[in-house]
Amino acid sequence: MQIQTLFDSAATQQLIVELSEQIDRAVEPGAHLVLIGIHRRGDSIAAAIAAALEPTRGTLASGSLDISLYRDDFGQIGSLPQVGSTTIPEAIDDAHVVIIDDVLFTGRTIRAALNELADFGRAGKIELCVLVDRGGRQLPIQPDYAGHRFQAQPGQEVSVRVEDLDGAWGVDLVGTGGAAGAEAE
Amino acid sequence: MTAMGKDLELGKDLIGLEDLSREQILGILDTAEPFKEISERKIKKVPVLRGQTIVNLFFEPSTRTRISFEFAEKRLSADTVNISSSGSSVQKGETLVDTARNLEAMRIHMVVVRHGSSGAARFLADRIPSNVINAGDGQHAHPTQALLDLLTIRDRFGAIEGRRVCIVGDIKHSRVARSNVTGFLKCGAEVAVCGPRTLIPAGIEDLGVQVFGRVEEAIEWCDVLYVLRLQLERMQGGYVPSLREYNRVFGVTSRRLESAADDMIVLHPGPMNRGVEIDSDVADGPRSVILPQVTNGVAVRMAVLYLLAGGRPELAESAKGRMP
Repeated sequence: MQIQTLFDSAATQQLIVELSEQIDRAVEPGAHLVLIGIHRRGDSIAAAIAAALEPTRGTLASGSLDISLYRDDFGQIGSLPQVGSTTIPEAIDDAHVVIIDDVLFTGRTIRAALNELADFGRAGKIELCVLVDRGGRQLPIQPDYAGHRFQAQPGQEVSVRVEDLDGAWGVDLVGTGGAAGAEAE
Repeated sequence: MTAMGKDLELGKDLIGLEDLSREQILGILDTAEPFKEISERKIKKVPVLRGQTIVNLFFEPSTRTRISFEFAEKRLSADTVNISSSGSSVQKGETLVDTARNLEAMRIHMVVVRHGSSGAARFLADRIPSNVINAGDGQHAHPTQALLDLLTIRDRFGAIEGRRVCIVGDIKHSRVARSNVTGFLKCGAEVAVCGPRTLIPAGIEDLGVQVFGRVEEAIEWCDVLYVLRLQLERMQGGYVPSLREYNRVFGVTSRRLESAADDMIVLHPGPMNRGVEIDSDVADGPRSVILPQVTNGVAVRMAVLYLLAGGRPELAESAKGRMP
């Protein structure tokens, strides 16, 4: 299995700083901004963005979404996903919500997240922020903020490492794509 | 995405905890944790079992268990049908298997069954392709009750292993006691029972279970006091002299609890007979976790439904790489 590092720890943290700046520029100063990370690595990135935004935005309301129960492939995949915990700040009604995930691929996770979020209230606006957009969409979903965009091969996997779970920040490209990559999957 | 290990595959049915490993039991409890939060939401529903049809087939009266299963099913978006023996063809002499086969013919996915005969759930599970969940069969087992009790104890103490649990009351006629003894032992608790000798099954010591003849001793010994009612409907008479006498000798009263450890908790599976096996000031007192048990019941049943409905190991290989 071939592993290529796309971004090392410092470069990944720089991507997060850039994402934070993009969000800070785009979201109105008085808006009720809520950051919602997608369990689990989206959580870590959301926490890092919240920390970066603290000087200008104060302490932001943040939440975490586990989309296991909203997947569209329940009963089709073999083993069940371990359901994680979902915590949403009390009121997201009329808030400006930014959903944060590590990698955007098919768009199915975000579809599930949008459905789940709707069960918690009617947000005023929902945007999507991802560390890496690797292409390969199967649904009409696009990010509002992306740290890095490129077209990965179908067999390749983009793997994001976060400090609190993996020890250090980083983005890796796993596999070479094409037939060999598909086989390795 | 983390895939669950093979250990967590529950297979087609949940009949009794004797069929499960310790890892599977703890895995169900872990799965139940995130389901607790769904019942606290404003919209208490997730779409995961959309399109699944579940039949609740109750041949014995039940309030808590039937409602709890129904809430669990509805909060997972399954379609549910309730059938009780009165008002169905069972009264006209239809057998259990024929009832179930007719339901199968209407294309159902799961059956939750409560029946007065021990072994009825297994009997059914062996004869129909749908998932079968035992919601209590005779004096045999009531696995989801034991699972919700284990979850409640784990919530309070952080772990079940090493805790001292004493079940007091009518052990002999109780499927709850059977399932709980199995569950407690598998999870590494020390287990004791207490009650009139007539209501303690012979040979229970062979399972590694201690027997207390006096409830005062049991209360001093345990971290968890699990109180059972007298199953008068299953008794042919002669087991206890009178309910009043039972209360005088084995009743769990606040005075008797004075000698208990500070963090000792009291559980009861319901329905309670206040003033017989448990006094009102205990049932409603600070040690009681009887209502948290009921809350946990919904989460545990959601976890069991989720795990049984989704476990399709044969598809695992072909589906690799299809994850979003």
